[in-house]
Amino acid sequence: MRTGYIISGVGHAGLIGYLLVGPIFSADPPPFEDVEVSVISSAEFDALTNQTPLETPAQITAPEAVVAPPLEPTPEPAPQPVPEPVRPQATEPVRPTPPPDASPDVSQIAPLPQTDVTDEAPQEPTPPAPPPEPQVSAVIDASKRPKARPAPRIAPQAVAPPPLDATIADQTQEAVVETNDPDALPSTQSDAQQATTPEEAAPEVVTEAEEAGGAPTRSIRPPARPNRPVAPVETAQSEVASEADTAAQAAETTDAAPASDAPVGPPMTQGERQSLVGQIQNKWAVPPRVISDQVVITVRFAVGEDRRPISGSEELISGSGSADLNQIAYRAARSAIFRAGAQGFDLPDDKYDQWKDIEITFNPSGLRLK
Amino acid sequence: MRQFIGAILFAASATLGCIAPSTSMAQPLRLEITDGVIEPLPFALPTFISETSNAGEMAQQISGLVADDLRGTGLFRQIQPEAFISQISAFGAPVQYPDWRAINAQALITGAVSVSGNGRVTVKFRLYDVFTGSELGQGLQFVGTTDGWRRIAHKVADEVYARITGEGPYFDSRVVFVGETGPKENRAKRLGIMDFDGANVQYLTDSSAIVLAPRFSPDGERVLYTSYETGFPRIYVLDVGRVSRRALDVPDGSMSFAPRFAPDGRTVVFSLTTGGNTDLYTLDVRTNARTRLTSTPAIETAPSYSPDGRSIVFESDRSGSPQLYIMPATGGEARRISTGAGRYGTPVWSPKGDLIAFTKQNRGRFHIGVMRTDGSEERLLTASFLDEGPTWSPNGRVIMFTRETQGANGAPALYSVDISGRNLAKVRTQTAASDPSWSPLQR
Repeated sequence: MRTGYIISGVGHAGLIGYLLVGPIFSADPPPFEDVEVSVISSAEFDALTNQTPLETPAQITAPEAVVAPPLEPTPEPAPQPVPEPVRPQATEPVRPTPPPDASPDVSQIAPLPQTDVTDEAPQEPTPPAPPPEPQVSAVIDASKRPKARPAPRIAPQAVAPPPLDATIADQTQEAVVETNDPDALPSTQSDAQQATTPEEAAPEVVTEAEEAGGAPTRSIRPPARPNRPVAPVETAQSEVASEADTAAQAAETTDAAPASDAPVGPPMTQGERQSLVGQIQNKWAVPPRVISDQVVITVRFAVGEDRRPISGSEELISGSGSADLNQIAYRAARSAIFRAGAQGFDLPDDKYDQWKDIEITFNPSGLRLK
Repeated sequence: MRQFIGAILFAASATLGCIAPSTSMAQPLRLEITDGVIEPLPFALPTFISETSNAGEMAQQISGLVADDLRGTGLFRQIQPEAFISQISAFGAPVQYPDWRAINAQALITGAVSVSGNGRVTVKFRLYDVFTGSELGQGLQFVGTTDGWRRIAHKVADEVYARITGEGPYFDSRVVFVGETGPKENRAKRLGIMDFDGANVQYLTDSSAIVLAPRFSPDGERVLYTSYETGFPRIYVLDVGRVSRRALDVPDGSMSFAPRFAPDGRTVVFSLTTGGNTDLYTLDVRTNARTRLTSTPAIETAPSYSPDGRSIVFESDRSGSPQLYIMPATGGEARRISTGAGRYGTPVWSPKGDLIAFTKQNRGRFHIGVMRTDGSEERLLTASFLDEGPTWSPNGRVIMFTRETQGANGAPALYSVDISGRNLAKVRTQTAASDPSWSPLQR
C-alpha cells in the first residue's frame, strides 16, 4: 500500500518539476506554415471549373508546386517485376482503374502475388479459395458473370500491361507473334487469319454494359469487419473468455499487470466459482437493516493452502452505507466467510494461485423485503 | 498551451503507469453474492455473574429476560447452556473464543449483577463477536432500583440488538391499549399500559365508560383517547404519570374521535362530526385554536402525521369506498395512495417515514399491510377473520395490531409481526386487549 503512495508521490513531484522547469529544455516552437489564400471572383471560378486557363495563375497553386516533389524520370520498366494479372479475380481489383469488363470483385484486397507467367492455357477460372459468399459472391449472379480474360494471351515474357481500353485481339496477335513456341504460332495466326479470333476474344470484348446479366443484381454487402486484433493470451484464459469477469481479468492481465502478478495455472471454471459463492452464501445471515437499506460492501481476504480463510487478512474494501451500517454488514460478511471456510472451502487444490486472494461483493439485492 | 497539455498527459500517464501495477499487484478472484439467508443469529448468554450474595436470583431473571427479548424478535437463536464448553467464571475473564466457536455461537453476551444494600441494582455486560474474536462495542453498565430490573434487562437487550442488527432499539418501550373483560355483548373496556412484552400492566381508567383508540404523545407522557362517558364520543388527554385528564375543546353536541398527536406534541389532529358530516381538524392543545383541514361530504378519519409533521395520511370514502389519502398538514388537496382492491383504513405513518401501515378488508378477510408513501409496493403481512389497528414499534421494525377471533367466544388479542411478515407472535396480556399504541423508546 505504501509503495503505491510513494510512487504516486514521485510521479506527482515529477509532474510539478516538469511544469516548472520543463519549458527550459523545450525547443523553440516548431515553425508553422503560412498558406495564403485568395478570394476569387465568380468569373475566375467559372473559368477554373471550365478548365480555361486563367490569365494569372492562382496563388493557391503555389503550395502544390512546393509540396509536389519533382517528377523523376520514369525508369524503364523491368520486364520481370511487372505483375501481370494472370488471375483476373484476384488482381483486377487492385488496379488503379479497373477495366470496364472487370468483375466487381471487392472481396480480397490482397497484395499482388508474384505469379509465374506461363504460356500454358489456364484452367477454367475458379472461385477464390476462401468462400467470399457473404461478401461478394452473393451479390452477383455467378451464372451470368462475364468470363475472365483467358491467360494464354499473355506473352511469355513479362511486358507492360496493355492499355485498359486496348482491344484484346491486338494483344493476342502481338503476343503470338512474339512467342517462340512453334506450336502455338501457327495455331494462333491461323485462328486470327481465319476469323476465329473474335470467337476466342469474345469473352474479352464483351463488357458488362453489353452483357446484361453481368450487372450486380443488388448492392454489394459491406465487407465484414475484420477481426479485432486480440493480444495473445494464454490458451487457458481463452477458454473462459466468454465470462465477462474473466475476460476483464484477462484484459487486465494483458494490459496492465506484469506477467509475474497474474495468477498462473488454469483458471477457475464457472462451476467452481458458483460453488464457492454457494458455500459462502449459505452462511451469509444478512442483518435486517442491511437488507432494508440495501447496503453493498466488498470484502477482500486471503485463503491459505489449507483452503481456510486466513484470519486477519480480511479487509473491507468499500461499502455503500453509513460507517456503522458498513461495519454491521462487514461483520455479517466476515462471519459468513469464516464460517463457510472453517473446515476449508471446497476449492481445487491445483488452482491455488487463482483463489488464494478473493474479493467478494456482498449485495443483498436478492433479499429485498417481500 | 500545447506544452502544458502535453505535460499533463505525460504526468498522468506516468502516474497511472506507476500506480496500475500496485493496484493489480495481486489479482483477486472476484465474486458477487446477491443472496443470503434469513436465519436467527445463534448467541450464547451464560447466566450473568452474581457479584453480590443477594443478586443471584436477579441475575437469573435479568439474563432470562435479555434472552427472551432477543429470541422474541425472531432474529436470534439462543444456544442452550448445556452445550457450553467454556464457563464464564468472572465478568472480566478472558473469553475462550475457540470454545464458543466450536458450538457455533456467533455472539457471546456476558454480564454481572450486583445489588447494594439500599436496593440499587447494577448490571454490566459485554458483547463479543465470536468469529472475529473481538469485543463488539464497549461494555456498558446500568444502575436502577430492584423494582426496575425489567427495564434494565430491556436496556441490555436493546444494546445487544442494536449493535448486531443495526436497527434502533425497541425493547424498553410501553404499549397503551384497551383491556376488555366480560361477555362479548357487554364488554367492559378500560385503558391499560404495559411493557412491550405485556408485563407491568397498569390501568389508567375504570370500566365505567367505553374507551377507544388510545394514542401516545411523542414524548410518551400523555395519551389521547376517545371516551363515551357522555354518551357521545369525546377526546381526552391523559397524563400518564399523574393519571389526570382533560377533554379537548370541541363544540358542544359534536362528536370527536380518532385523535393523534403531531410530532411537535402540541397539535392534535382528529375527526369531528358536526351536522352529520365528518371532517378532519387540528387543535392546538395550549391555545385551543382549531383549524379545519378537510371540507367534503365524505367521512374522513384516522389521520396520522408523517414523522416530519408536514403531511397527514388519512382514510376517506370520498371515492365511494374507504381509501387512503395524503394531504399537507395544513390541509389542501389530497392524493389517493391506495389503489388495490378492497377497503383500506387506519393508516399509520412509520417512525422512519418510509412506510405506511394500514388495515385492509378484501374478500371477507382482514389484513395488516404496509405500503410506500406513494402507494407502491403494497405488502400484506397478515390475514385473518379480523385484523385491524396497526401501530409501529419505535424503530419501525415491528407492527402490533388487534386480532379478533371468530365466534361467540371470540375475543380480541394483541399480536405483533415483523415488517417482513415473519415472526407473527401473540403478545401476552392478562385480559383480552385491543387498540394498541406503541410508545416511543423510554428515556
